[in-house]
Amino acid sequence: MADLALKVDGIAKIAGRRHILRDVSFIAGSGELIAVLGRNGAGKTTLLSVLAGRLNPDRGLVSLEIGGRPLKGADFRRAVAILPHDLLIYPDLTARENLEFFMTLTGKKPDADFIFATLDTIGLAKDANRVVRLFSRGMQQRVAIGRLLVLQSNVWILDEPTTGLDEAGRRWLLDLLKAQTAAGKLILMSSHHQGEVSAVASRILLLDSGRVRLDGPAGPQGATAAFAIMDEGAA
Amino acid sequence: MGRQYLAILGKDLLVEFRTREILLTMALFSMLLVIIFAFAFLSDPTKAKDYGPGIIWVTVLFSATIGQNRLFDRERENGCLWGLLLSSVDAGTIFLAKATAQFIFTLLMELPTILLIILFFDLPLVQPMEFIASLLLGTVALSLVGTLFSAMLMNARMKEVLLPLVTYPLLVPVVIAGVKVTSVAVGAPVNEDAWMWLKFLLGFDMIFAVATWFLFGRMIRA
Repeated sequence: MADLALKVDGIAKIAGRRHILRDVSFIAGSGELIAVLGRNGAGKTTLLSVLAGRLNPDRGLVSLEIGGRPLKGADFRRAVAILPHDLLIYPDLTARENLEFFMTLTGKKPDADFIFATLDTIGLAKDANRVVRLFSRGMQQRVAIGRLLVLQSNVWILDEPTTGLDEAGRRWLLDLLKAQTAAGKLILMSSHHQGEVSAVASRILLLDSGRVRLDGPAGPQGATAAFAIMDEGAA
Repeated sequence: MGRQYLAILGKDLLVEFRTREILLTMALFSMLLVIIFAFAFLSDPTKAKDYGPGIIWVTVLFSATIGQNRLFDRERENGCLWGLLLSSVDAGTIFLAKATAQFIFTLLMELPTILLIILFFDLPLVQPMEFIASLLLGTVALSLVGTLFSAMLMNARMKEVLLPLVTYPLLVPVVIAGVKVTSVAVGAPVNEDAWMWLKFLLGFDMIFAVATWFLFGRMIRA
C-alpha cells in the first residue's frame, strides 16, 4: 500500500455558540491505529465526521495524500471509509446483497469469491442470504464492518466499532484492525474501553472540550495515562 | 457511472419488490380515488369525455406524491444516504437512479389505474399514441420534480404536507398539458393541438432534467 498522509490543520467546528472542535491539528500516516479518546461530548464523533467528509469544518483543513498525490472529491471519498453509529447498511437487503451493492459503488464488478471471503471473514457466511433487518445488533455491526472491507479504502474511520459485539466478536474485530494496520491502512477509532486501546492502538489522541489534550504513543502505559486524565476531568 | 447507476436503481427496485411499501400504498390510494371519482361523476356518463382526462391526471398526480414521499425514507434508515454520499458515486448518478426508480413505480401504479378509469368511464382511446406519449412525458416530469423535492424535504417535519405544497405549483403546467392531450386522445369535443402540448411536455422534461440534476448535486451534500 502506498504511503499516505492525513493532515488535519487547525480545524474548528461551531454549533450555535458552542465550540465543538477548537484548533485540532495532527498528521497521521500509513500503518497507524489512532485511538480518539475523550469523555462524552468531547468532540470525538464530530472530529471523525469531519475527517470522513460527513461534516464540513468551520475553520481549518483536512487533506489526504497518497504516494505524494493530494486526493480530492471522489478520490478522497474512495480512499476514506467511515463506520459511524448509524451503520450505513440497508436493512431490507441481505448481508450478501449489501456487500455486493457497496462493492459496486466503488465502480468494481462484485467478485463472488471476494464477497464470499468477506462474509466468511465477518463470520456471516451461513447467514449471507438473510435480510439484515432480522439480524441482531452485533450481526449488523459485522455487516457494517464487511462494508468497510469491500470498499477497500486506505483510511478507516471507526466510531466505537465494538458496539453490539460480544466478547468473541470484540476480540475478532481487534485482530482484524491489527491485521489491517499491519497491511498499511490508517485507522482512526473512537473508544471508551481502555483494554481495546492498549491492545491495538499505536497512538492516542485525547480530546477535551474540543481541544487536543494529549497526542502521544499508546500501549498499556499510554492508555493508562490517557484514561487517568479522563477520570481526573470527570472527578 | 453506468454500473453505479444500475446498482442504486437495482437496489431500490429489489427493496421495493421485497417490501412493496411504495407500490402498495400508491396503488391502494389511486384505486380509492378512482372509486370516489366514479361515484361522484358516473351519474352522467355522457360527460365522461369531458371530465375523464382530468380524473386521470389528478389521480396520477396525487398517487405519485404518495410514492415521492417515501422515495428517500429507506435512505434515512441507518443513515444509508451517507453511505451513498460518502462513496465515490457522484450526486448526479444518485439523482438519476432515484428519479428512474420513481418513474418506474409511478408507471406501475398508472397502468392498472388508468385501465380502470378507462373501463369505468367507458373512455374511447381514439388517439392512443398521443395519450401514451403524454403519460410517459408527464411521468418523467413528475419523477424529476418529485425526486428533487423529496430529497430536499427528507429531514423536514411535516414532509408529507410540504411536498405537495412545493411540487404542485411547478407541476400544474404538466397536468394541464396532460389533460389537453388526453382530451384529444379520448375524442373530447376540444379544439386543441395535441402535438403542441406534447412538445411543451418534452421541453418541460428537458429543462427540468438539467435543472433538477444540477440542483440535486448542489443541495444534497449541503
